Amino acid sequence: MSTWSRRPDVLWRRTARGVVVLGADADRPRAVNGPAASLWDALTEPIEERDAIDLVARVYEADSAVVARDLAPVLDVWRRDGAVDEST
Amino acid sequence: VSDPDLARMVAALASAEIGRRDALLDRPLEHRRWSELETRVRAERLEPQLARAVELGVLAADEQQADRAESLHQSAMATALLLDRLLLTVAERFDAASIPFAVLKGPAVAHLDYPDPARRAYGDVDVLVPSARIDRAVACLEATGSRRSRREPRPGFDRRFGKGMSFRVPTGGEVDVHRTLTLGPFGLAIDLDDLWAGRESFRIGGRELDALDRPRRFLHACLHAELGRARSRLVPLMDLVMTAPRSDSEAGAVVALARRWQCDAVVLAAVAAAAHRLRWSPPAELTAWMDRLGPSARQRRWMAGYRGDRRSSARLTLTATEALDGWGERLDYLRAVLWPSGTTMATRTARFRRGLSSWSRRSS
Repeated sequence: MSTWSRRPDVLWRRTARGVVVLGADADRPRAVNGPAASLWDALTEPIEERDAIDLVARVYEADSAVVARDLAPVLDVWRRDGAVDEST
Repeated sequence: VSDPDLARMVAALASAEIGRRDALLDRPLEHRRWSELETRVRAERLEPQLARAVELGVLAADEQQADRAESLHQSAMATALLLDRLLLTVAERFDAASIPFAVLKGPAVAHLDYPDPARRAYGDVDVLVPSARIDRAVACLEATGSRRSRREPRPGFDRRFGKGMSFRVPTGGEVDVHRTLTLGPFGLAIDLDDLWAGRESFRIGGRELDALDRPRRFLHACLHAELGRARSRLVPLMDLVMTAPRSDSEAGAVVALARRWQCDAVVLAAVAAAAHRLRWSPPAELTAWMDRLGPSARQRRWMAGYRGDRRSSARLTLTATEALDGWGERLDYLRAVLWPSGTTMATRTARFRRGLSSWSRRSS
């Protein structure tokens, strides 16, 4: 299972409903709302993917499997943008 | 809701940022008026304050308007992040060229003085560079394709007398390189060694950057709020409140600097403007010290060049000479301003002609 963390050089801002993230390799900032913003909050410290998903699932009272499926592309985009690091 | 009401509402958004939480609107505006409010909010760079007022429920908004407020905030923050990236690029280049610098305004106050950097929108990057390194900073930015918006009137003017210069960066964005904090006599009266003597650091993207210390940030906010435009914009007034002295020693430092920089009148006027427009109560630490500020007749004369009926660039130029030491300096300054070099004149003439031809195309 992967461990995820925000990269120290990532630039980001919180808004009322979400977060705007500019990774080191991204062309432009990306704004995300709702569960994806909660996932960003969960990455304050390095965290195992399963724990991060469980945290978001608890916040939204949703099924962890559904949350994991929906948020996997978000983590993938943030990794490609150079906003987060993944370690196994 | 009439236009003045919208103007009051926008001022109240800034006022809410500094803690005045009166209800701004108890039912949503009709959509055309909301669009007008958005235009005013964008012009004042108060997108974070609009979104916050909606979120806190002090500004009633329907679902669509609430979505727009969030979207405007996200867009303003996207701009701020791109500017932070630009700032880091400039920092890297200046480091490589051994050019010391301090970050001014937007990014510095957002990270040091606001409760959350997301509460301060900004539209460019401002850095202060020592006089002796101005030419090197210009060369460094131009070498990477940035283009300055105006040439200096004569060689050496920027380093000796200029406020600073603006650069358009090829990847987008604007970088303003400052030598001092404002145009005209008040900018020339600032002792630059004194200006650099107080600094504080902050972090962006994991990198440590220098800013001015809090008393100097407060004085810069006062100068920007009071002398920058014909009427104070709200963000510099918010900055003034956010950087206001929090202790007796900070207030003492502000007053001592203001007296040395001969800007007592500006501080008094700017604090009064913030108190009036944002309904701000200056802290006791500051008011106790403000009695020691004594604006001179000369300072009042200088201020007239920036504001009011007697505002003019000729007046600013003439009064600027009063802030310079010795006749040699004054003559050099006047010669550069009144008789710019041939290259500068050719550039200005070309720009004038381009403006004229685009005006005549539009007219026909």
